[in-house]
Amino acid sequence: MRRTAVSRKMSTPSCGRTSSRVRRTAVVLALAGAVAASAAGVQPRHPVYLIYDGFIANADGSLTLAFGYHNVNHVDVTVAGDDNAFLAGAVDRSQPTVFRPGRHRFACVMVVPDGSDARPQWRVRFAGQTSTTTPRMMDPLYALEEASARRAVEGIDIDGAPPGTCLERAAAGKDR
Amino acid sequence: MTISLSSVRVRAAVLSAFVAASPALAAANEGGAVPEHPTFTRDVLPILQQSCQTCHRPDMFTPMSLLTYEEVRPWARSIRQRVEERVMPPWFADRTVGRYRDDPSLSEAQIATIARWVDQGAPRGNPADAPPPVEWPAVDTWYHGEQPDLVVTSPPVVVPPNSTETYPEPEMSTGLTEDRYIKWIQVMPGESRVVHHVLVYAVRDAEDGAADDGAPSGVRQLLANRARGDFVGDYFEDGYARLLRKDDRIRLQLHYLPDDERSFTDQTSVGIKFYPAGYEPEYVVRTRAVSNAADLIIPPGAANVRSDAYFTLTEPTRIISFQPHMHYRGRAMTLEAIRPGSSRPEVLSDVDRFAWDWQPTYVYETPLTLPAGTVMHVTAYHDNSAANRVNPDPDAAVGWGQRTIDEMNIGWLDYFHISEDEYAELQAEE
Repeated sequence: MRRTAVSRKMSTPSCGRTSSRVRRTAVVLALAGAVAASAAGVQPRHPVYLIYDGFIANADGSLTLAFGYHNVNHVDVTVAGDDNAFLAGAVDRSQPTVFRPGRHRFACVMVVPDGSDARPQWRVRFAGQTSTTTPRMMDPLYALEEASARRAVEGIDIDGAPPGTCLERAAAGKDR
Repeated sequence: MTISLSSVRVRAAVLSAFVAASPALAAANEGGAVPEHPTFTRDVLPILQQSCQTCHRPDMFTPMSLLTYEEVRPWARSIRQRVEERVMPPWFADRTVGRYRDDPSLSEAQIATIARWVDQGAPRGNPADAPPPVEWPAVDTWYHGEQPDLVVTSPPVVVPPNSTETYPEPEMSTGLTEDRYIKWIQVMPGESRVVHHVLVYAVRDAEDGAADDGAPSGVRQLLANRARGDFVGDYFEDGYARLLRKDDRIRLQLHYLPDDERSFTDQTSVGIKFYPAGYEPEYVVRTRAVSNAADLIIPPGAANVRSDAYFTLTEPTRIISFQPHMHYRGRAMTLEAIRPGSSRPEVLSDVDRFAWDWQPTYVYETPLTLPAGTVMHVTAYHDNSAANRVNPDPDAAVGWGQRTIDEMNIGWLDYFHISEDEYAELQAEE
């Protein structure tokens, strides 16, 4: 479309000054088109870092575990299958498979029942790098402070939660 | 200009007065030649008085007092090691970049004097050589030599051992009936051992009253920022002051970092001394947090991760101070200015050895004068490797967050605006 429009302009007889400006415009637009085409086909080459956000010790003895990520790329990244798995126990815990650019806290929030010693680590392999959440999940430093704890469970039905699975967040609370 | 521009805000103004009062301390401050046979009384004690006893005295949060020979002698080797590594005194700015007020750092000659003294058996020397003892103010007192006009105190908070870090944000009314300008403000934690930092905000209900640049939502102004190691507060010399409006409330953001063994109950107080009613300063001091939360990601094990933040000055400005704020993985932070039309950054401060548990504010000897359009550039470096001895978890990727196990990359700037004419005048003087 851009090329066509430029061609039409260039075919219009005019004074030399205008013609020169049009040529410059044509070059700029052509370059812009090339950049746009390049962007459309851009391949994300940077890692996705998984971040363990922390835990909430619930009153009934269960734990709420929260995981997030930081996608360094400027485009969405999709990672599924064996490259996106929890270590120990169920590999697929309904964790995100599409990673949006930037930092996203509380992308996966799960409840681990009272008495369970399951401390699942999340692992993603992408762009030749493996990112795994920390094994030190119960370090007191990882306890979520009050404001973050509220945000972590916002829009989630914790009481009816299936154990050990990333919980579906109500639409209003999806975008963290 | 009707007032001196050589000094605007003073931290530890009282401490400076103590140091300046003693000829022996002044001599120690010069730090020229290294004595062939140093003694405690003649050569070491003046250094300790100048740079160590501020904190190392009875009832302070420090583990030992360093007032007397008897107190110092058992720690002689440790003192030597700490000063040679420049871990103590806690001052982490590159000494070759910028000049700061109340800089307690030791000269190379002073460090060599202590080292030689230890090597030679740490002798006491002649008691008659000793400078008179410094009469330090009592602990838990207001440092600036006068009582505050306003004291607000937070409700008691119990901090059990090994508990979750907490961030209570109590708000308190001031009772002011008119706007007042602050002469000094000091935060006094009840239990310094568990108080990581305290931010003091002025907040108000009304929509009017412009917020400080970069301030959190609902906040009109950051009044003070007390991090670990900063226990003196801010003092604003005549002509430069912070404004506290009559409708403002004081909100504290308290960050409690629990002790491993003991429970503490803290009540933190903020003391404010005002200039007389009706006083109008020539300049109003403001604070800006230059940071880049969105892009901060520190991979596991990475030893030197850089992040950058920028802030453009919209008016001619004088920068009063710079305070880097990071957490456990903080390694270094640099402040640069990129003047309009220049492609060469000018390094203003280089805190090349950041220590998370000592976060001094670096107050420039003379406020830095910069034109409108200058880009302030803060570069932060984090160390998430196992070699970082305070790193709680080298296996974790780390991003921005409130907890100390998360990270930040804030360069706090105190500044005030000046007119174009004043800028031109200052440029001509310089």
